[in-house]
Amino acid sequence: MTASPAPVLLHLIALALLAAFPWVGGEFYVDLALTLMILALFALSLDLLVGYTGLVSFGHAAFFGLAGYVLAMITPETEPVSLWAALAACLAASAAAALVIGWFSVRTSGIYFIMITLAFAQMLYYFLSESPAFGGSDGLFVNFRPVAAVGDWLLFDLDDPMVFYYFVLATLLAGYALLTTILRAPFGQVLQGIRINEGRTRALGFPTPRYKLVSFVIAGTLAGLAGFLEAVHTGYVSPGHLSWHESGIVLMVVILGGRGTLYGPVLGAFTFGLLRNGLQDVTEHWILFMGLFIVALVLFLPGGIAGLIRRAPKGGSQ
Amino acid sequence: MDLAQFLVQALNGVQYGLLLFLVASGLTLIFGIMGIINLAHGAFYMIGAYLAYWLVGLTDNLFLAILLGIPIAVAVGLVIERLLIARLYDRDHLDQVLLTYGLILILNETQKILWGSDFHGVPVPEMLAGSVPLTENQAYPVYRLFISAVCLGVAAGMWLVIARTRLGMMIRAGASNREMTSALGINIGRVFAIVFALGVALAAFSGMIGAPVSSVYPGMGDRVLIISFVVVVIGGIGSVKGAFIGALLIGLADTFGRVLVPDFASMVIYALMALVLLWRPQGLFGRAP
Amino acid sequence: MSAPLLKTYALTKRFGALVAVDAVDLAYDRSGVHAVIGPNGAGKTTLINLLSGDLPPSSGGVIFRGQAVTGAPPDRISRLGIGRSYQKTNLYPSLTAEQSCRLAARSRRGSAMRFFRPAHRDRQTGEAAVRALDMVGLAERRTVPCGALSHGEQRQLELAMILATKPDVLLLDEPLAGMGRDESDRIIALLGQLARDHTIILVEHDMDAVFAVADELTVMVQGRILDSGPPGRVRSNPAVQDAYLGAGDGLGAGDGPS
Repeated sequence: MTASPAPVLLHLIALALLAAFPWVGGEFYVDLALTLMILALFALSLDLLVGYTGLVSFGHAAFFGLAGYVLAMITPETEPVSLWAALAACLAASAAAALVIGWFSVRTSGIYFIMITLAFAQMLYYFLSESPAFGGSDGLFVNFRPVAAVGDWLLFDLDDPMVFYYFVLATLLAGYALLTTILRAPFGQVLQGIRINEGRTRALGFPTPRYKLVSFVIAGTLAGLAGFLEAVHTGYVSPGHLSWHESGIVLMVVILGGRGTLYGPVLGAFTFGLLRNGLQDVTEHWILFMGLFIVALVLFLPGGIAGLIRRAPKGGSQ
Repeated sequence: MDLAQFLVQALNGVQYGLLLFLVASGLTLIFGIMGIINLAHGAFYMIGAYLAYWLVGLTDNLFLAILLGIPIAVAVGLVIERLLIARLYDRDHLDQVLLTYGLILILNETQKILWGSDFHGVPVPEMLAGSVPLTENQAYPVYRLFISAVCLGVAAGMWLVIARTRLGMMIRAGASNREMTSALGINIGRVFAIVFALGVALAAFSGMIGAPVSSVYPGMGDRVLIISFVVVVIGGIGSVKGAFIGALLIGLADTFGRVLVPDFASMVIYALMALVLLWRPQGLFGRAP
Repeated sequence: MSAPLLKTYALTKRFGALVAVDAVDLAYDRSGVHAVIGPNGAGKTTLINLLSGDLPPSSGGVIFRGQAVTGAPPDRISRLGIGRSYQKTNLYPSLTAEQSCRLAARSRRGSAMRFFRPAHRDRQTGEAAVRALDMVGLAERRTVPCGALSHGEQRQLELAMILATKPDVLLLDEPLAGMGRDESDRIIALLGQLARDHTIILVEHDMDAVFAVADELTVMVQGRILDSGPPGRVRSNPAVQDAYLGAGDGLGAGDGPS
């Protein structure tokens, strides 16, 4: 029932690659790596729901985009905002939204859950894209990156590309470690019980709706953390960040990597990102090929990349 | 808002609701009977609208375009059903969501390759181009009345099928696939193909008949899909009656929302959905899980 | 005279026109095996579902320790001390026997809203799980995934998972179905032991087992209680004999232990 960890060595190699990358990669690729690390964190948060709790959310982008909007709204036009205040505000907003949406959603299951999470995300999407206060469909700019200072002492400077890169990497690692810990703790064990057999878990005495709601809030908050990083990274947020296409993509990333593992979503994010980038270079109709790729993924690789890795050592014995 | 304005908005709301019903009923039937959650359903609405635009350009006649267009849409739908959807019957909802999401990307991009990214209009057929006067300075377009009448006719036809046939009996009973196979004693694959084709025909037809009032543009299926989801959730998944009531509710709520609270118009229907779910989590006519 | 531990009054469940459980009044003491028998469709499983909170009653109610628990959700019923097993095996196929029992035991250690300390470090749940597995005779098989256990072993695990939640009342829906003779004898002996300080409500088709352990026998027919009392007396009730002969399901009168 523990999260099946890929060998420690592989984790270390991946970490070393990511840590060394800004020293060897060009500017374009370092920027891409940033985008993909953020996507990986976003996908990890969704995997807590899809892979570990058995809740297929199709509105996860709502929390991702909302955090970006909060950052844009609290950043003044002429000066930066404190990193700590900004983080607190963004995460609180995502958590609160997840609490409200989750409260409605976890009482349902299966297809209802899918549709309801989608509908709520759309509600937020239209709310942000139609009110002029939020910049309408053009979105909002984040004029300054937050400042990480204690008193007058600048702890680190997020405007420095190197510093920002390691800040994002450290956040991704922290999210990964947090999920690993939660999943090994009693809470995570109950979640997995719910995923495998919710009725039985409830009969054993666990108020399963409450556990699902807490899982939903944790996942929403982590998605908010990813959305916060994205808004800091690009300096921009638009309704597109919480569109249902964004929810679809992150769901696809989780499946591509392998749900129910934590390394899967990270692998999925990088595979997807490199594929998208490659396709965009080759054809303007890359979305068509992305669609074909998704269809092929479902038909031929339901376990995702993690499924391939798990099967590989057995050498085709099955 | 005076009475005449109210009447105009009410007629608009009913017309929009009835059109939504055609799309949503296909979605709910495909889920109720086949157990498939089909995100690509809205794409068939878009395909219908583009076929109308293309065929009206060729034939100069919307009715002829509809007659020619539906078989084309159904053929596309059947190929997709046989090639892809049929492999999803035993898969979980997650796989269905993902594959049909991929299908949306494919169909949307194919549309752009074939017809480009511009907005297009489809002219209202000449014989239906007039208006009915309501008061001295208020008139109502005949074509919108025509849409409502046709949709009501289709709804009545569906009601007949559901009330009078064995397939309809199964739909009403919410029978599972296996029960249906044994009860109907026929190839379940064929039933599924027929249901899917019917759903596609309904979606494409509403795209076609709605094209003169909604214009034709890329990604137009996405919004219809999501609103149809809201309709289905409100009505209760698998219930055609629920889809009918839900579609009218949404049509009226959306139309009056635009007039009364223009700043939050798009949110009204989602708020309505939240209220219904608060009261009945399984929807108005859904079965308790 | 002390009040009964678990009591129902006019407990009724309707499914449309069908009355599955019809105005049932029962009262159970703090110990003993209370068997519920009856032909198929008599409403036995529905009765269990009403007691466990899996189904809300249409009317009437359930009182546990003097407190109304009618319509309470199954998790609350379980935490109050009423554990149930399922007629159809209902396990976690991908978890091992021990993991399943640990999860069950976990539910008695206060809220599991604990996010940081690894679950496997909790010694108490581990010990409770192993004890429960040992009681049903599955200690050797603790590392086997539930899905790979034999049918009989799965039935044993069902029981072990309830025991791991340390209930006062056990609702057992055909716990012996599908077990071999040895396993079944073992479980019958275990039920006899448990009955000293547990209330066991046993729905069972195996009449030898029922008469071996039951302290009290209730016969249900078409949702109603036909008779309830000491097994010897109930068995000789002509109405009970008729009901069973009528249903073509022998009660095995006279085969029981003397």
